[in-house]
Amino acid sequence: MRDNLAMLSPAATTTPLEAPIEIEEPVDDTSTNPDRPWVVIVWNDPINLMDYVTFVLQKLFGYSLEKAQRLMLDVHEKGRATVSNGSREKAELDVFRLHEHGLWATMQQD
Amino acid sequence: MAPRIPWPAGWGPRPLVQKIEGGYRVNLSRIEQRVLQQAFDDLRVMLVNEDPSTRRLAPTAYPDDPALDEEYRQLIGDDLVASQLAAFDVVEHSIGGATVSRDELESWMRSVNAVRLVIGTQLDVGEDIPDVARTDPDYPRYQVYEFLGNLLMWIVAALQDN
Repeated sequence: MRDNLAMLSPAATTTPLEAPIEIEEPVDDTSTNPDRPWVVIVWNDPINLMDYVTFVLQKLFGYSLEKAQRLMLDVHEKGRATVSNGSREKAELDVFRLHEHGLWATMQQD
Repeated sequence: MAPRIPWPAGWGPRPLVQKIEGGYRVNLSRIEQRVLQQAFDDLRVMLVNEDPSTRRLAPTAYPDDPALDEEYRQLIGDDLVASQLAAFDVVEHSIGGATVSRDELESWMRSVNAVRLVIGTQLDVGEDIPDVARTDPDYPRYQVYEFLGNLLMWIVAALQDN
């Protein structure tokens, strides 16, 4: 879970009486997109093999084995998992590559 | 998702895919080659004819928005099918036992998975493979489905072994 730490602005450090200013932490690669980010979701299906899904997530997104396995298990146990996010164009490319590998992927705005 | 598959009787521990110097080798018996070739031939025809069984290979990108989905389908055009057919070409060139590169083995992986998805969809399988009687008319296709699952696991294991 992301920890929403309040950060002091440079001005606040020189004038300690001012209230600290909260700065939103950037979230992954969506920080450059002013619109709501798109998320890419992989859905569970009864045919794709668990080890195969893990490998595809590693290959397409460069995830570590541990992260890919965690996402795969989320898909398997919860029925779905968000595997990537970003601009609409990036999400469409990710969906296309997942479809090339036979994964059941969809996208939607967060 | 389907769990790991135990080796069915008869397929045994014979390595279907081996990492060798300069690449990988897919070791299929003549019968396995013929079964696989037939499965690819069938799927090629189904893809070109837009057989409903192949819909699983091109899911809806925007299930909540038909207009955006149509835009997306216009954008990708035939690219998805072309990509799948190109991967089949790689398999068919090396099905007889040539040494393949990592990229080529990844084409094998995608192709075997695509064929398995379509056969699994046609058989309407669940996560666990049922015990199918030899007298069942679908028995031969369940055999092919299991074989494809094993081959896929060998391919993934070889690619994971960096």
